[in-house]
Amino acid sequence: MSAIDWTILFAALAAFVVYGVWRGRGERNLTDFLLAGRAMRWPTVAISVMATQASAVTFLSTPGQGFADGLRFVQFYFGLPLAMIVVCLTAVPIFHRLGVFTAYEYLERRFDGRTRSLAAALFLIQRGLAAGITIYAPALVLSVILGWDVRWTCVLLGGLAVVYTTSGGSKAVSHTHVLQFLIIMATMVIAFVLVLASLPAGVSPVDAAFVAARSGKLNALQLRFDPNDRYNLWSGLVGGFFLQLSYFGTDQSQVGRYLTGSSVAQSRLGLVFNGLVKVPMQLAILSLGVAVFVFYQFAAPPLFFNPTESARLAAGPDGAAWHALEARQATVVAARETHVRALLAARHAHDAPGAASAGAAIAVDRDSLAAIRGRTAALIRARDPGANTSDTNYIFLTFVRRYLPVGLIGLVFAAIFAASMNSTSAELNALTSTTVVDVVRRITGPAADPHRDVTISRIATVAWTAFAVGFAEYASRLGSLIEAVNILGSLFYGTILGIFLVAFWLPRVRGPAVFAAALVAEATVIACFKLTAISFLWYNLIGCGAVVILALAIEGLLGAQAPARDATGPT
Amino acid sequence: MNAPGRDEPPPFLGRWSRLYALVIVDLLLVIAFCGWLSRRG
Repeated sequence: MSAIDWTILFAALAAFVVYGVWRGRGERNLTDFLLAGRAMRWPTVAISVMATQASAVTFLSTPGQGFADGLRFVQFYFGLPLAMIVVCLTAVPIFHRLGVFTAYEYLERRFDGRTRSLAAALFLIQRGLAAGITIYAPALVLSVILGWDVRWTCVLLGGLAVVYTTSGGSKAVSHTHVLQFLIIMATMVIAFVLVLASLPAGVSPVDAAFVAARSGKLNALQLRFDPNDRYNLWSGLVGGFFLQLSYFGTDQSQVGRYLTGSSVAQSRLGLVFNGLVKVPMQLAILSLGVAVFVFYQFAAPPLFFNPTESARLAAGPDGAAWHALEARQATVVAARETHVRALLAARHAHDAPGAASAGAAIAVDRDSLAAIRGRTAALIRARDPGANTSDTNYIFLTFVRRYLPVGLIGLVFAAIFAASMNSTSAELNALTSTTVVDVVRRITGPAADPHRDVTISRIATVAWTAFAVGFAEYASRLGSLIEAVNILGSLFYGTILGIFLVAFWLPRVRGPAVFAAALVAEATVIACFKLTAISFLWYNLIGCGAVVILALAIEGLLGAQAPARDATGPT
Repeated sequence: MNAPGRDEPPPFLGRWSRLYALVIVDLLLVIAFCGWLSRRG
């Protein structure tokens, strides 16, 4: 990168931290530190919710998925708007009315301390590990692209977030979310425009869409139901609904964001806005990857997008085989460009047979390139059997470094760092909330001096950062990183969601029944993960359904001699 | 048991149910657009 790009990158990082510290000053008690004084308006709530979910992985992996796999990943988010409505109707008013800091506090009032502890423990395990992946995923890609040591990149990413999260707590997190998310969105829009502007003369955006369609990249909707297919309409609507309901209804990372709203209405509006714009936003980010794919129909892509791995192979004992594959790819890519131009010429001339002929030639080229990629992967595995042969996460940044103008490169990297800081800071704040409210204060009781709770919260934030950075060291070789995060969440979310749904909607079920049901359900989900090929999107439904059904059954067996505790749920 | 729906009305559209309907309509439009894109291939 040029000196200008480095300057922009580091100036932006410093600005994010200083802004966070400045906006977070003045917290006086635990409500200020953990929930920003419950004083946020809905636009801040909305952006904070979106920034928390859209981690750096979103902006690295999603364009790569668009490039490699088309638009089909968008279906994963179809359940989100429906989940927003359910959360607005149930969790938001209940949590606000009870004045809780965390979602798990509610469970003690509804069931018992044991159930609260179980849910809080599942959250701390899952989110603590996920925080490590949230740091590691972008650190790995950034370290490879920038030539940095991955461990120090993890330390930098965690270190940037912890400064203002420790200093200003939730208020700092929310305000920095707004600044960073707006910069990220603006950068992505500029990048998208520049990708389209980089297409050869005579190739319009409509032509680009035509090429993408003929290459099968506009596959945004799959109606055929297949439980083993991760992305289709039904898995997105049903499985995605339960995943998003679990995430927004029971994960403190999100609960902590919308509880910063100054009223039920402000929190609800933030979530409704997320429901309106999230799916189109994901579609746009995937489309960015598809646009990069079209760009590479007219330019030579690298044989493998991971530059470190490529350089290692090219300089190693398999260098001759590597260069032979590069030469073979260059020949096929040149032929493909000729065929794509012929396809567009046929389109402009309304020459259907010509378009069909060019399309068939492009399909042959695609098969040839797939074979070359297969041999490339085999070469990488032959050198290192444990090597990751997926280069999806490197596609977008490799394109940025090669083809975007000076200045914008630094801005894109700053945006990726900002996205990482966004999700990490929210996770750290949520882990701190749960640790202090659901563990420490249950043992020691509320402090007479409110500053003591704030001090303990700051210590917890630093401790969780150290844990996350430490775990990041071990989070390698997890395949597609965004999927790793989602799979990890799915292992626990269903059970936690089941506990909350029973709490909200089944007032006759009591603590012992739901606690036993949750243990069995969690074992069932882990067995599904270990022993079956069922897509992870369905784990949420399985875990949730198992808790609800088993809790009802166990409650029936135990008998309902005594009335349930006050069911602080909706009517 | 409380009634969580009883809260101040939203500043837009007057009722929460209308806002939720808007979210569903928005989702249906996006799905329809995705279907249209898929048919282009």
